[in-house]
Order: sequence, then structure tokens, then C-alpha cells
Amino acid sequence: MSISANVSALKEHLEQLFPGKWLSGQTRPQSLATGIFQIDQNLPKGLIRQRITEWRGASSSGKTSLLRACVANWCSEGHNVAYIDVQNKLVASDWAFVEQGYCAASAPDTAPKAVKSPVDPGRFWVIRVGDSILQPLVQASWAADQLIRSNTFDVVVLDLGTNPIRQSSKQGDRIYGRLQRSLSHAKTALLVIQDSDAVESGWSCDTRLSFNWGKSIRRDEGLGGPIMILPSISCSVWRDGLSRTEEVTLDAQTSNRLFTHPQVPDRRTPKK
Amino acid sequence: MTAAGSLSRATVIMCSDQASKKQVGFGMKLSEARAVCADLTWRQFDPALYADFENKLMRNLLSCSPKVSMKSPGVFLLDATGLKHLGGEDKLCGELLKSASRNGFVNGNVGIADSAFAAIVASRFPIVRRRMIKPGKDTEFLGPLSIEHLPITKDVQQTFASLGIKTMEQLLKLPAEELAERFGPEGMQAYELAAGRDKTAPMLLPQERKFHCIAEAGVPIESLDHVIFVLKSMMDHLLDLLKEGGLNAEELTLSFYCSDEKFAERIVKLIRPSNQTKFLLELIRLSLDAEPIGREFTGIAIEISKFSHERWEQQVAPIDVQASMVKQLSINEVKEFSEPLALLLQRFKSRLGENAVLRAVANDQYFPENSGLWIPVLQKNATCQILPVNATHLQSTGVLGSLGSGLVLKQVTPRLPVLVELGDKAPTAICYYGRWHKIKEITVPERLSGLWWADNFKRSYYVALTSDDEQSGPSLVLIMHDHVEHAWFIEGFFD
Repeated sequence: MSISANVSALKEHLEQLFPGKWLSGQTRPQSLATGIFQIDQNLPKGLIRQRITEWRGASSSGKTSLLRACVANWCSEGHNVAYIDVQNKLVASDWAFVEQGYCAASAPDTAPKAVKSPVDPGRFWVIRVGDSILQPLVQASWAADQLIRSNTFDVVVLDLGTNPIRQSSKQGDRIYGRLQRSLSHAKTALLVIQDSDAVESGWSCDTRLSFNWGKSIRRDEGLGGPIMILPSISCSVWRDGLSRTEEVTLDAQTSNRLFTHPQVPDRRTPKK
Repeated sequence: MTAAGSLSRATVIMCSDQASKKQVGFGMKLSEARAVCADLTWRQFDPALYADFENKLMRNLLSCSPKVSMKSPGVFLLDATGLKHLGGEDKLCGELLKSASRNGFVNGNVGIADSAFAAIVASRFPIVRRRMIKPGKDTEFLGPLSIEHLPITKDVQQTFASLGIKTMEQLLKLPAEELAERFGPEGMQAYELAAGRDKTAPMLLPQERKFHCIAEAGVPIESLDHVIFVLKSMMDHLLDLLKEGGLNAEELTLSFYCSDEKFAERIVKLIRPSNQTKFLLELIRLSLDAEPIGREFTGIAIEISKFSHERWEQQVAPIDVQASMVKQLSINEVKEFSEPLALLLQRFKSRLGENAVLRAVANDQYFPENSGLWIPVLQKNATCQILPVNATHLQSTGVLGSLGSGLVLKQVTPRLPVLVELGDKAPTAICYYGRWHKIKEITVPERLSGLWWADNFKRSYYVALTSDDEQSGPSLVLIMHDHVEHAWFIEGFFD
């Protein structure tokens, strides 16, 4: 028997022993390609709906930049994405053009395409729970649950930041079970992001990716020294017991903040 | 200036006197208005807000006259008969202007005449704040005035002008039958108004309907769970009254009492009117979960502070969810959404607040802090000025990708003060979270300065890659040197 068939049979057996924690390998729901060649070639099924995918990496590891490229790709294909920002860290200017399919840095092999049809582009909404009085983690899991149940969003990103769900904790198990139940009745893919270097996580996720800065660094030289430093991103993909590491190089232009008015404002009046 | 419509097609609805002086006028496009007046501030037209204010003002004007009605936005008709023994018309004018000023409308004018039309025209003269036409002299007053005061279309006005009719006196000289034959009911109405005959009259205000219910437990209660069954029956009673009148609730007000003293009030606003008990109870629970009362109470009151007539229209089917997520979300547009999306937004609003669900909007500003804004999806009016970036033009010139940074920045709020070891020109190591990190690579500084007349701003931004050590891997950080405060900070980490 092939390796993947063995893994599927094992999952089915474990599903009988531990119902709700393990999913049967027989069902093949639809999936979403990330749009990044190096990730997609190791994830032929892409981001699977009704499953939890986990992205881990240090606080500064490049994972959110890759995620932005994926979100831009999904929006350009008409998918709706919701991002739950538990620690209120996102900067608006970085995400302003994502809905139109643009992100400042993209993997050169498969750059996000512009919106195919201007009529129905995907939506990108951010939900902030950091200001809430109640525990941000509780609010974030509630928000994720509501978004999944609404069946309105194709991808829900739960960015826990430095608030990891503790391994085998009661709260973690409760949150996991609830989200898994909601996913089983929806067509949403849940992407959990954690700022953690630990290899193992507490949840039995379908797919796990971990990120670090790569070794190659791109420098754009200007007058007097480098004006941009762009390291590559090392990405390890784990699924069905197999893992593989790839390096993704982003293609970006130098931030042109000084020239936010590159053209004279368009004050033309329409012709009568 | 107030404008209605989407950003690209917004037209001016009303504007201040200062804007009018700069040639901004009704019906102009927003882009035209901004072209003639560069420092224009505008707000989205919000009819619900204005209706609410006008309703409040009308209720206040009741103290001056029992019959009050609104002719058009900003124009109120009051019955001024029988005031001889109450100080006369002069005193009435003073009371009306005071009442309007107390409500924030300081530029009001008052006109008193036999007919409503003559009174409205009398109030249009900006220099004279109060104008009283003597009884029986309406026609004499209106005679020399221009026909532009009459409610006639531009075509009819131009036709009158071509016939040499410029004043109402000239209009009255025409035979009524010929006017009716040529201009129809519009012409006849203009004739009647010019003659000082107006059937419009103020009416008694309809009694304000109130839907409220109060329950006294008699004993201190800590949690709402203990009285949920009471709450349910209160809601059932109120909503039955609403349904009888064909109404839906738009806003609920919960008041909490402790021994007859009100100590807390909670307002629950609905983004979509509803009269379903289960849904409203759920919203109340979510609102109280988000912000618990924190104190025992002995009584609770529920009031439906805003309501509207039920819309007997087909709801958008769930399969239309994709098509119904239109680009610009305003309160009115949200009402057109599918039921699941509207309910989802309502739940988020109740539990997490109005500013929980956001979308990113680019702002054409110089400083990085202002170059993007998080705008609430449920925002009614623009609370801050946004200068939109012309993405289509930037896309065509190929510079759209350079507007944002190459990598996503995860900001540190508040910014983190750091110690810096300086080399020849740039930092060589930084200390944060109690540890020193050597800098492996660093960019030349990007220097921004400005606002010397207000809040002096002089900063240098560096992007630095720290070396990896035993305890942590490399990090890409955005370091800022504030030349005004003479301090170094970390703005955020690139992830």
C-alpha cells in the first residue's frame, strides 16, 4: 500500500477511536490554492475547506507577508477572507489594496493577478478583539466560530499572535472542538497563525507550515547604502506525515513613502 | 458640505455659507466642489440623523405653539393665531429663535404672515432674522418679489421669463383660466400662492408612541440569567405591541435600577430592524457579555427607543451573498444584505462593538501613520477625512506596488523604546525586552519631517535585520529615531 493510503487508513481508525478529533480520509472537500508556487507544489490540494491549517513561526519570520500574498490571490479569485487580529498589530496601509488583488510583495513565479471581473471581487475584513474587556482569546474563538457558521467567508484567518493555545489544555480542547464542529457544517477553511517557534502544537491540524527567515537576502542599493533588505522565507510544509522545506523569495519594490502623491490629484471635471 | 452617493458619484446636498461663498452649490459633483475649494470638508448625507434632529426640534417648538409641522428639511410651520394675550407675534419670534439656538441652530429666521407660503418667503431674507407681514398684506408683500420663490420647475420659470413675467405681481395680471390651460396644475398653484392663498397649514403633532416596560424584582440580582424568563416576557409584550402597529425595533435601551435609582443604561442599536424576540434577547445577552453590569440591580426597564415601519419585501436569498457584498458599506446598504450577513454583523456589533469589523483604506497622506486607515464596516458617516488614492492611475503607471512596504509590518503599540549602540553612522546593536541584539544588515535612513507649524515631526526610519543567536532567530525590525524627542524606538517587526 502507498504511504498516503496507509495514512488515510490510520486516520479512519483513529476517527473511530477518537471521534471528532480525527477526520476520515475518505472525504475530499474543495480546496484553495495559495498562489505561491513553492507552497502549492508541496500542497497539491491547497488549503482544504472544513479543515484547520496551522502556520507557525517567530514573531518576525515572514509568514504574514506570505499570507498577504495568498489573501490577495484569493480576493482576486472572488473569495472572501476574514482576518481575526487578536493583538491589533496589523497596519492598514499594508492591506489597503489586497481586495483588488495587489500586495506589495509577491512570489515572482505566481504573482497575484488583478481582479478578473470588477463586478464581484472578494472581500477582506479584519476583526479586532484586542480592545475587548473579556479575554481576547475567548473573543477571538467566538468570532471565528461566528464567521465560520455564517458560511459567508471562504477563509477565516485566526491570528493568535503571542497568545498560543496551550497544548492539551481544557480551554484549548474546548475551542478546538467547537471550531471543528462549526467547520464540519460550513465551507470555510480555517487558518490559525501563531507566533511560536515550537514544532509541535496542541491541535491535530490537517496541515502545518512553519516559517523562518531564509539565508539569502536581497538588497536594493541606493545612494549611500542599501535602501531595502528583503530576506527570503524558509517554509516547511507538513501534511499526512510528510514534510518538506522550501525557500520562497519575494519580489517587492522599494517602499515609496516619500512620494505618496506621485501624480497631481485628478480634478478634471467630466466633459459636458 | 454634505454629499450623497458613492465617492465617485457623490453630489452636494447642502453646504455651509463659507462653502457657498467659494462657489460650491447644490447639485455639484464632489470632484467639482473639491476643484473649486481645495480645503473642503465633506460628510456623507445621513437622512436618519437629520430626521432625528428635526423631530427633536419639532417637539421643542411645541412650547411655542400647539400646531407644528415640517414643510421641508429645515423649514417648520407653526400656528401663530391667538397669541395676542401671550405677548404677541414679536415675543413668539424671540421664543422660536431661542428654542432653535438651544438646539444648535443659530442661523434661524422667522417669518409671520397670513399664508404659509408668504411666511416662508418672509423668512428667506438672511439679513432680517424676523419679518412680520401685516394681516391682509400678503399679496402686497409678495408682489414685487421674483417668481423664483415659487415652487415651479426651471422650464416653467424660463417660460415665464420669456413672456416677460419676472415678479409675482406680473403673474397675477395674467388670466387664471389661460394660466391653467397653458401650465396646468403647476401654473394654477403658482397663481394661488402668488395671490397669498395657501391651503398648507400646520397640524397637531401626532402623539409620540412609547414602547417601554419595567420589572421590579424586589431582591438584588447579580446576573441576567436569573431574570431571563422575565426579560423574555417583557420583550414578548413589547414586540406584540410593535407587531400590532406593523413596526420593527431599531434601537433598544436597557436601564438598570437599584432601589428606584437608575445606575446604568445600555443602548443596543440594530443594523437591521427586527421584531423577533429570540434574536433581540440574544443581542441583549451579547451586549451584556461584552460589558457586564458589574453591580447588583433590583429592577430592569426595556424601552424600544427607535422603531420603524415593517418593510414587506422579499429578503435576499443566501445564495446571493457573494453578489450582495457591495464595495461601500453604509447603514442603508447593510439593510439590503442577506439575512446571514446582517445577523453576523449585528452579533459582532453587540459583542465586540461598532469598531470591531474593519476594512483597510489607503489614505493619500505623507506620514506613514496616516497612510492607511481602518474604517469600520458599519460606519455611518466619515468621522475623519480620507484622501483616496487613485489606484487605477497608479496601476496604469506601474507604481501601485510601491505604495506599501515590501513586507507586512506588525506594529508594536505603544512603540517600544530601545537602547541603541551606534557605529559610524547607524546603529550596530539594539536592546529590547532586556536583551541585546546585534544588527547584521541595516538600510540607510528614510528621513521624514514636517508639520513645523503644529506638531513638529522629524524622524528617521531604519529597517534592520538582527543576527540570530542561541535564544532567537533573526528579526527584521523597523527602528525609528525621533530627532525631536532624541529617542530611539521600535515601530514594529516585519513578519
